[in-house]
Amino acid sequence: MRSAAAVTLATLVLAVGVTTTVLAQRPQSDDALALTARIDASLEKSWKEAQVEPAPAADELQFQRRLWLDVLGTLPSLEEIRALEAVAPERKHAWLIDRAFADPRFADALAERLARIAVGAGRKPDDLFYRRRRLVEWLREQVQERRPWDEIVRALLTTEGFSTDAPAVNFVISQDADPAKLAGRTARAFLGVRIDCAQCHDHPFADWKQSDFEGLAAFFARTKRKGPYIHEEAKGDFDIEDRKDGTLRRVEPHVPFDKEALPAVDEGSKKRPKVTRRDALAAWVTDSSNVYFARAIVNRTWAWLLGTGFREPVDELDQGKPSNPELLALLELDTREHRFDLVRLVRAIVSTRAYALASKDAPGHEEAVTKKLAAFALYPLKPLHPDQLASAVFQATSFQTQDESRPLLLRIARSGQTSDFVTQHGGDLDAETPEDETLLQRHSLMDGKVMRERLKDGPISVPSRLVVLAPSDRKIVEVAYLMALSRVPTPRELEHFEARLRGLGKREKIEATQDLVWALLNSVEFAWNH
Amino acid sequence: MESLNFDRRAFLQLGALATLSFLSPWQALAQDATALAGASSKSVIVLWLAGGPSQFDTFDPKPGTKQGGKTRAIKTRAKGIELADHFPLLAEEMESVSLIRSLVTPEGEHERGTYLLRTGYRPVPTVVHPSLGAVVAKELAAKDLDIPAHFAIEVQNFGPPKGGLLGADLDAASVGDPKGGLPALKIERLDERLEDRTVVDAAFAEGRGARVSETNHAQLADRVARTIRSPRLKAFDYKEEPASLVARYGDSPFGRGCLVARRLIEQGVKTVEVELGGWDSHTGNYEAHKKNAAILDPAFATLIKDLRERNMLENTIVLCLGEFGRSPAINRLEGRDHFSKGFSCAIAGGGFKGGTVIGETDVEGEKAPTEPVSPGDLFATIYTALGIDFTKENVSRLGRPIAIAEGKPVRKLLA
Repeated sequence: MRSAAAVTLATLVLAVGVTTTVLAQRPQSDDALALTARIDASLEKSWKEAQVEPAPAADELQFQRRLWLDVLGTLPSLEEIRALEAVAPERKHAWLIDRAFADPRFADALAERLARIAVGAGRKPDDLFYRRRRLVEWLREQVQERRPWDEIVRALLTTEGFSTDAPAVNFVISQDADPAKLAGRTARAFLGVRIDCAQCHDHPFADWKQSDFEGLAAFFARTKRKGPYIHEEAKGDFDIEDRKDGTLRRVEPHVPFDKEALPAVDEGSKKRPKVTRRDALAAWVTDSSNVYFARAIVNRTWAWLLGTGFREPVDELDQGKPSNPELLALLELDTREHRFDLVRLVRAIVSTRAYALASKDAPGHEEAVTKKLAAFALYPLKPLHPDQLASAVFQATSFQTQDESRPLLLRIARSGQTSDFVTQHGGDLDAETPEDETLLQRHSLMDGKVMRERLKDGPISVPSRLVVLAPSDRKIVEVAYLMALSRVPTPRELEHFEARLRGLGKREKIEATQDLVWALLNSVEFAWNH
Repeated sequence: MESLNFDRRAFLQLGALATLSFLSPWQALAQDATALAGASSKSVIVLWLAGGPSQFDTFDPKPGTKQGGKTRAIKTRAKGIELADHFPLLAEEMESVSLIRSLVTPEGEHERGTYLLRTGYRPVPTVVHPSLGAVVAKELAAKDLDIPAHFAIEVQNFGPPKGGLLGADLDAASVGDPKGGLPALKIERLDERLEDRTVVDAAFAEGRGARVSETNHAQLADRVARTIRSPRLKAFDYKEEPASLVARYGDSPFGRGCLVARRLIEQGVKTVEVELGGWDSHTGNYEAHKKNAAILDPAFATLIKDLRERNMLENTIVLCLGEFGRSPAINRLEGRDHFSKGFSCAIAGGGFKGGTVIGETDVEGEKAPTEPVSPGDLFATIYTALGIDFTKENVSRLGRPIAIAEGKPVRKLLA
């Protein structure tokens, strides 16, 4: 066993011919490719009109890193990079997309994204009643079954039961089953509008009135919470205290627009009405005539994958003008026509030319950067979210792929360390773009517990193993670069690090390799998707 | 000290070394701190009472009334000023402390209230206003201070105070309970590693130009290096202080935090927020306040006395407040709910008069208090005391000019 493992590792480091065989999956839908072609055509037209020259295509290794971080939530492993090397050049691009979408980590990553939309990103910790982790698991199952987004949202808005058995109720629990919070969150998360500004007064810029907000909140008036249990009562009214004179005022549920899409609430005296207030609201939110519903998810998905939404912030869709109205409309229409199939949408977007463009420009073209970025003609630099950064640190310091094939105990240990790291890198995790890095976050990358653990000398430590396995200093540098940055070093970098390693004894060489890996993990390049 | 990943073992070695020296280099540094180029001598310590303390059970007791509850009042050193009977030690220091009993704000929800009382502004979707600490750090800290000028100790609610539109660099450096003292922060072969790092960044910057330098990672890495090498971090080694003084601050994370706050100020740090949570007493209000006051009273009173004895009080503002107060009515669960239309804060030092009270609340809590003070007024007063022109405007990312504070200074509070 020992020697077999050593051979595999040595093979990876040396990259002699043999690679893991992975059967390429057929695209799940050729029709997604048709959407890709329409996006490409629309963007190419807008580039021509705005007279911007798109950046050249990114090379396949950089594309693999970008795609992996986005849709698998982590870096490609050395195994996966070696597997790509064995694919014929003209097939590499399609092969990577097929492989990413066949990977079980895709459902994990998309579920985490959807959870961030619905309940935020874990700033509110799990407790006895609130079970965010169960919600993410549930979302993963929905993604795996390819359940459409409108159905998922209806379940989040209407489910009753315990937070452990019926994980969708965690949406209601995350907002403390409070009608005002639920109304605000529902509008932001699923419709992309900040109607909660109208909680105290009419919205200063948009058309929302205070009464619109109160009307939405009234849909949750019968939603009751007992600890981890959420249920809907057949009766009950929404009375709110007037802020001026303190008198109680009854508010009937009503929606601010598209009133014809709202089904009638069943006001019969039965124990379980056929259509509860929440059922009616959920039907209205997800109705195909509600333009905000499709726009919100399309805009967020685009912002996730291309770095900037057509409208920013992603939860202020009601303000300003979109950057590319034609493309936004095209995506909205397509998403509605295909029953809010998010897997299809994500796949179509990552297959576009814009998603595959380089993040750097040819020398002499830098002056038009802002214009190009605005036109999606140059790939942006996207900061990694804390969970991506943590996974990337682990993957860059492991020879094998950190995925579901790893033993359970190792995965649990890793997830504990990951969450420590994510907590340290706190900030407002709800936002699509994480906040600027702080001193302490940088410190935890430079000298945090996780970093120390991953770099220190030991039998499975990557720096130590590299020194033993690599036949030359050059190979040590090349493999460390592939593992951390998914690229080979430039001649200048190679020269620098070879000089640092040259002529050292084993102990000193291990230290110098630790320094190399440290420098790679602390580079700007490592902390960004690009 | 979990949040900084401090390695205690290495720190203890450092501490042992320091005690060998007859004249602690620490003392020399402390004298040095105010001499740092461009530094103001003024600083701020915020004692943040997270959850919203009840004014009637702290700084504005109403004994013998239905609204006042079980809490009694005690006389203080300051003539005519009474405190809740949970604060016997603070009562002794009241000649140095003033009270505002008429804070009025429009925010009765924790997160929004916290934002308002940390920044002086109500939360809006388009801009993040800088916290008091960030403004003070930016305006008053020495440019060559080699540790962060803005610290948060034990801050758990809604994260540490932010730099907001002034930049994440001014976010408070957040640390936990200082128990155990200072951390060692040595990174092996740091100079070599930082040089290696620049080689990698240079390669990435090709064709990406300013987008790479704008990430600020390189500057942060350099600042981390300077910080972890700074002897000023020994401020966390509070055990250098006499055991009796440590005991007077109280054996609590908050008590230790207050002592470390004083030591950080001595090192040139301009603002430290120390948090004490547990004030959100929707049930069992009296017991909750009694318990929390037992932590707050010794720490607050000792801090004032300690600062005075070190001649630091005239330059150090101590502000004690939470995000709002609590309702005059006591609910069925013996609790008090959120209330923002007339609540209290305490303020001392740094150019503030002691023994002064602003505003009077109506006992039923129905009428608005006299001499109402808004968060903007409070912040304008503090900035005035610090010599900061609060009408100066910073510009948001969207190009909107935003004054440091919008309000009128409460002149009666200023010495």
